[in-house]
Amino acid sequence: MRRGRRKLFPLVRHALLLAWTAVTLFPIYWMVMTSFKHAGEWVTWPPRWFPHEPTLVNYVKVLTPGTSTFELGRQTLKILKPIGDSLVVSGIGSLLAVVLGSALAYSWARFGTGGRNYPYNILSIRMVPPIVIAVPFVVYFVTLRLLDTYTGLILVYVATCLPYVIWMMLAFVEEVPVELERAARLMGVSRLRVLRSVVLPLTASGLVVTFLFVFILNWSELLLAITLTNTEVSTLPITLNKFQSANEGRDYGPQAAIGTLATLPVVVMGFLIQKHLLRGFSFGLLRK
Amino acid sequence: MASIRLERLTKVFGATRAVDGIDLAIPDGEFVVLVGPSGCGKTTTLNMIAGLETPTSGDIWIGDACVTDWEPGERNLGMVFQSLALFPHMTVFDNIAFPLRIKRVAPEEIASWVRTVSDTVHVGHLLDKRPATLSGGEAQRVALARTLVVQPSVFLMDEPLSSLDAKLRVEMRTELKRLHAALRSTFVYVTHDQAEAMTMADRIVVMHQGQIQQVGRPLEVYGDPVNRFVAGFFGVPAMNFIEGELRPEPDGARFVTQSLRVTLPGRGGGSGPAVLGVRPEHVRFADGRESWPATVSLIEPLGDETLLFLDYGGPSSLVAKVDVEEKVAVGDRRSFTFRPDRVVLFDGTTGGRICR
Ligand SMILES: Nc1ncnc2c1ncn2[C@@H]1O[C@H](COP(=O)(O)OP(=O)(O)O)[C@@H](O)[C@H]1O
Ligand SMILES: [Mg+2]
Repeated sequence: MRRGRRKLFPLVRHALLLAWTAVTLFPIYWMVMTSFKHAGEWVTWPPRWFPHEPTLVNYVKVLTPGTSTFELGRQTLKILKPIGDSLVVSGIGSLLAVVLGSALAYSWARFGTGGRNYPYNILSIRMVPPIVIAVPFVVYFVTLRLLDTYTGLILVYVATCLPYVIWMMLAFVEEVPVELERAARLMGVSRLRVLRSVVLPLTASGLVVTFLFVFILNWSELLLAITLTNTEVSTLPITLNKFQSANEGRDYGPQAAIGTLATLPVVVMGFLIQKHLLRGFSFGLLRK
Repeated sequence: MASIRLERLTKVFGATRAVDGIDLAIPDGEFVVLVGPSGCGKTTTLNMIAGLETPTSGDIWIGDACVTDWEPGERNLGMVFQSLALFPHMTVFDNIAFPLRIKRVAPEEIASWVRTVSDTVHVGHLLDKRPATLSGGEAQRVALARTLVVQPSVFLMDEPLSSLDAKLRVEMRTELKRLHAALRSTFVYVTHDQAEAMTMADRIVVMHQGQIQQVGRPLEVYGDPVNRFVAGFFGVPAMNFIEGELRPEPDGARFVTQSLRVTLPGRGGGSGPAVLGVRPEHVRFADGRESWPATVSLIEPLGDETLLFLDYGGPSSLVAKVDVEEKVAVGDRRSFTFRPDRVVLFDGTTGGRICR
């Protein structure tokens, strides 16, 4: 009897997990399929599980150069520029945050810069909901002429990501035994060279993981972007959001194409993170 | 020339006086062992000599130079860390070559140096491996090779053998002694293991709570401890301590407890509360005027010798180390005595040595 139950339990568990995976993945599946369908197949009954004649027309439509237009009361969205804007803002913002944040994390971990509570103070910034800082930022940015500029949005992304970077990098820096740095110092290695030849190689995976993490955050950030930009800068989440407000929001094919394109880098990076997470935390090999 | 001199060296961390004004002179070529319980300030002292920790006050001299303010890399020291501190992202070869590359030695010369040194410590076959794949003993030797390769005038070692198993540790002790004999450099070796200190040191520096308790040759420290702490720190099993009272006698002193009266001829002065210390090997069975009855309550054979726990009426039993040939069984009632010349006396309150 007991043996039967022991065999049954994993079966049930797997069935449940599979069912749940199907539930979570189904919308993504549907989005990807829709992006390859002709207009006639977007909403048919019974639903088509696969496009009968797969097409790239939706992708061509959103990816042709130019700006978004209204034609016959219907909005045609072009996303080459939003993709570029998103790459610039998320990329530079994440990079700056990682550079500054890891420097802060290192100096706090090794020299206690800023005092014992410094990382907690920084973290408390993150406790403030973005909506609270969004409007004051508008006020500042009007005065500083930073509204609707790359510089403005990048600065905001750096500020909001710093706490994450500092906390993640603290964990990675603390995995590097101080004695490694001390051994190098005794050999006559300068502090800067210690950073380059000891600390950097040993925290490289951590840096990559941290960069990907904040990049994904910035890539999908909507609230601050929509508040602080207008026409000059327009990120992907903003563009995607515009479909909600389109007069005729039935343009499912192009919408699905944009959604798929926006998800792609995140999925790819998700896989990369997985690999690096394993490596990033495998310092246990060191003799303590 | 690489003698070392510490002058009133002090390091304070917040409320902790980790090192509390120590003075020490180490002549060139000596093998000195700093020994003491965990937290007594050994590592901090070594780190200050290395320049990795800045003294709160006091000075460090290496040779004829006051190096207190020098960078670690300027002091011409080699250090083996407790964790060994091998660079995990480099091969064994690169680990050993690293200090040479820093000094901009020519590549051909680096290769030949690495080969020579790695053969000296028998790691020549490991050069392509990563530190994570080495055994404890191999990693130990690689760390040693990396220190040797720049021919420092002083070697600092912070519990370098603590990660090895007991057998390997004993082997490496001998090997380090040989290395010292061959190099004739100054070695400052830190350990909490009294046996390591006894076997390796030319001179032992016993530390406790940031202060030096005693400096001396191993047998001096063992046989002639300056206080109760040093006496109790060396020897396995530890020295027996018996609390009692000291009374002056015309020709010496007498140590008295409820069950013992030990006359100590020729030991002048002193009266009041005292502690008598006697090592297990100086407790022996004997009948006579100055002997006391006891019951054998426990027997621990060590193979070469046997430990006996004797209940003589005091608060704790007395440990005696006797020959394995001694015929004795639990419950036996025997008379024991101390070797009178080996008995040491400490002040009952300060723990300092009295009545020598
Ligand atoms: N960086 C530090 N900050 C605060 N206290 C320290 C630091 N390093 C050592 N200590 C304290 O100083 C004392 C001596 O430490 P240490 O020299 O490491 O002892 P040992 O090596 O003899 O075990 C201990 O009480 C320890 O807690
Ligand atoms: Mg220590």
